[in-house]
Amino acid sequence: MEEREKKRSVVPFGPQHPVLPEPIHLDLVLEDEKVVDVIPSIGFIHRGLEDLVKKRDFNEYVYVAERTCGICSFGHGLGYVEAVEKCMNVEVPIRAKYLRTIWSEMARIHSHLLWAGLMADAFGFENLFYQCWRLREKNLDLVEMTTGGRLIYSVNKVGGVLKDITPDMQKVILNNLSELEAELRDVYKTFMTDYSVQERTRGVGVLTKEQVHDLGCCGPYARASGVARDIRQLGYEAYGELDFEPVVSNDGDNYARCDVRLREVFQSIDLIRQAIAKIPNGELSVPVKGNPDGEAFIRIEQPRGEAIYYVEGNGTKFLNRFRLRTPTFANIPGMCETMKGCSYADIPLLVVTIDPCISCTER
Amino acid sequence: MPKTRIMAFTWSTLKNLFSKPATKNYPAEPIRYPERSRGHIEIDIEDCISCSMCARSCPTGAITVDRKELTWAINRFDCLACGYCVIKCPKKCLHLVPGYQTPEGEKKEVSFKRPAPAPKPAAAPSAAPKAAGSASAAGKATLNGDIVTMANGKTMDLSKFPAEKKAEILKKLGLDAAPAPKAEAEGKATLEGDIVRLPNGKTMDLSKLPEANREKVLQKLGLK
Repeated sequence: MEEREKKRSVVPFGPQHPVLPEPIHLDLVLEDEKVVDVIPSIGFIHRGLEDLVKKRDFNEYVYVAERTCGICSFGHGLGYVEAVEKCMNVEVPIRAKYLRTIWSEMARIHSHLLWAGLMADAFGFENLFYQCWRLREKNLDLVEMTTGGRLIYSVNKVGGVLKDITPDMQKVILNNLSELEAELRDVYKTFMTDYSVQERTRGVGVLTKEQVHDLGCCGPYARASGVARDIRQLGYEAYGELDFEPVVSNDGDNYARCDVRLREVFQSIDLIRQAIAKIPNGELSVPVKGNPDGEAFIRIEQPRGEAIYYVEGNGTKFLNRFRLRTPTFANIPGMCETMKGCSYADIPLLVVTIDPCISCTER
Repeated sequence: MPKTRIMAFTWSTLKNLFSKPATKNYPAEPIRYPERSRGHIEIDIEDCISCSMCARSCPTGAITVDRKELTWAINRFDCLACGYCVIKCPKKCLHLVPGYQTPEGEKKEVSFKRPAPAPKPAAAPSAAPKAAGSASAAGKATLNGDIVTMANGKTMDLSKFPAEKKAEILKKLGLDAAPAPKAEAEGKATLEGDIVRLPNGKTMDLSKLPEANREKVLQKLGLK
């Protein structure tokens, strides 16, 4: 036992690493080239955004909540606004719900394509990385046309939305999404059938269904191991009126996670088509009077998994507390579990498969 | 077991090799912003009233409003182009227009000065009571019953405030000493049948109150 311990070395991974979109630090305990233990530490990008809720009134805080993260920004704005609306018992008009759903799915497409590019970069396939990001540009152009910003949408407000998607814009969206879908089939085929991709991803980082339950993983990370749980099934916003099933795979390795996330992009395009076909006419927002008082708790399905939003108001225009539990925080224990026993060269891939969004994890 | 192909991406690669590049040739080719693009804030300075709602609502504190100097300044590098000031401005003189900030050597503020407002007419002489006539000429506030006329000509109805707030305002304006008894003498309640007319102009219908309370009210108002 002592001999083995003497052969162990601790190698630091991060916070700066080419494969990481955001800084996280892992201490990898290695025996020769095999990882035996992982000790994560976060805190490099903590900005104290939850404390800022005491200094910015609850209407203005939407703009701060959105900027928690650049990739999941619409989801954070949406979750915060929904939690405050639940606290104040505000009923949002139905057209606003559909618009929020459409933007939510567009955010999901952009996030998954970003992830697909990073994954391709992580196993060295840079050509595929650029192809994925070129497709993502089409999506970002649509978002800029409808909201005004590419990553930070700034269309949510307490009580509804600020901007409308006109019928002309809807036609453009449908056209461009069809083009995106056709090109995405090529990318999906490459991810799933290319020899070099399969060598790097099949059988690597396996998580069984029981392990997912024990460790509390969520989102596509859990769905790739056979757990059919998607918070959109709760029916918040307009999801109750749209028809979809959670995308599930049973293998539980990196290959299954690629499969689940890319199939979710196709599912999102389908959801946008359904929403645009069904969107009713109506107002965009309702006026909101008074201040939030009491607590409210909301869960939404971010691209990375289940995010929980909690607000507590005390009758003044400044909230008492805002707490956000991000999906990456729930997935990090799962990540550490998959790393035990793997080879050192697989570590970057295993970090990228949880789709880490560390800036939401430490606000 | 899914298929494994060695050259899965070759067709896409060849297509990309022989087609137009996706990169736009900026700055040779100018950017075409969509209509709703959020770039920067512009102001119609003639309509601004220096209320500083925009400065108070800015999440980053990029706007500074100086009421005395009549200026409105914005630090374009701090501005997020979120659009909250546009929503909050009561005169709708702010606009969020396309066009991002160009790179510069250092952060600085851009300042706009609005034209001075036209001078207000002097406080209406008929409203000022004789005793405080000299006070208004000197630029002080005057009290007439429950209406305070300020030095800038604006009026304020003190009956809208609760008693403590009223006393506070009178003290602040320096009107709390002598006029109080005058106000009492001038403002007594009057009784017309069942309707009591209070000094602040409000009326109270005694028939709506129970018998016992009516006596109390009349005694309190000095009408019994």
